[in-house]
Amino acid sequence: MEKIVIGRKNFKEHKVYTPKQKALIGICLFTFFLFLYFTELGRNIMLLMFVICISFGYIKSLDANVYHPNITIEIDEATLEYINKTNRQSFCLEITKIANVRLNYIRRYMGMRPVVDLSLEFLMKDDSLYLLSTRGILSQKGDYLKAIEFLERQGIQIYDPYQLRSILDRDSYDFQGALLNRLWQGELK
Amino acid sequence: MINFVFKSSQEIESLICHHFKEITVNEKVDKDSIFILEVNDVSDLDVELERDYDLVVVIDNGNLIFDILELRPSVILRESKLEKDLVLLEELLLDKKKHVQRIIEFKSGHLTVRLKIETIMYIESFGHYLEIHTSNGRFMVRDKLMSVLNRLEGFDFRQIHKSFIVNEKYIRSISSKNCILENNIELPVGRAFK
Repeated sequence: MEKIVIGRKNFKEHKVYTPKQKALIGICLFTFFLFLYFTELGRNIMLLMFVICISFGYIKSLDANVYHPNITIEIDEATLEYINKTNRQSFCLEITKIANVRLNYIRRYMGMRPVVDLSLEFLMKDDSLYLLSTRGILSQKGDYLKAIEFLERQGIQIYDPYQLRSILDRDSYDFQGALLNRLWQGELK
Repeated sequence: MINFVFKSSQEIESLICHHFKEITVNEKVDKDSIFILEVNDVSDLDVELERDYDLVVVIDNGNLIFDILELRPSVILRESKLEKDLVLLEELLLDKKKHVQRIIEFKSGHLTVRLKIETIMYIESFGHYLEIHTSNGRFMVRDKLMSVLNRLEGFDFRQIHKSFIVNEKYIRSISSKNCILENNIELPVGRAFK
């Protein structure tokens, strides 16, 4: 049975630093700052602050590398399942009961920065509507395109009013960038 | 008397007026009226989202279906099968008399679900979350069982357990210990809910 998985399960695990290793890095940095404080360099307070900021940024990036939102969409011939383990949300739809799917987008702001996410809208044969923002799903290249083509093969009609299909062959980061470009170029509202 | 306001062809207006004898036709939309809108292209979709009247959309094809659904219409009628679909309008009129809404919306994080209440089979509660089982599948939202039960007032739902609400339409058999649904799912019946 063919199965398409969009999201974390396709990703390789990043190297994880254990708390002990992070503590060791912290101790080394602290010793380094202490050393700097008693040297000529330490008297230049601006430079010291800069070094501290860079070091803290580095420690934080160790966590950022291993952060996974843990959200997946799994599609097979019987069901379409969305599982969000971070926020404990999920839904499971029977493929045979889906009438149409629309590719849409959702604009939001992350601080001052605009971000655009893909939104999948499932219209069921009994007129029920499921709107899903793909925010947080780390997709690989072509995952969404494969899923859309799979749904089409199951006889589901795809609506694409904003021609998003042409950029669906990218991974989640490239896709967001392409959507944002379109937004700036005025192709999207 | 229910007030109808038409923005459609004369043909549709006369068919609906002929079918429903007890309605009045006005030009201005007010609270509790039903606005019949014929949609042929995107420019027809100029309707306010925050409104206190019911919107009924008449379409001749499904091309704009998602744009129409964004307007949250109470009923969608197909122009080609209008006479058959008038049953839906009859149901809406009955609901208006009973002051009930047939469509319920759940929002939770990245997910929004809008569905007809009669498609809900049963609802299960897990701590702060509810798993809602419908005829199409299931979904999980963060909500309270009692608040959903209040929203479902006027429909045939009953609580059979501290963690379960069931739609009576889907019950095949019920005893003091368990409740069996049409799709052979067995749910427990709580002592306090016998």
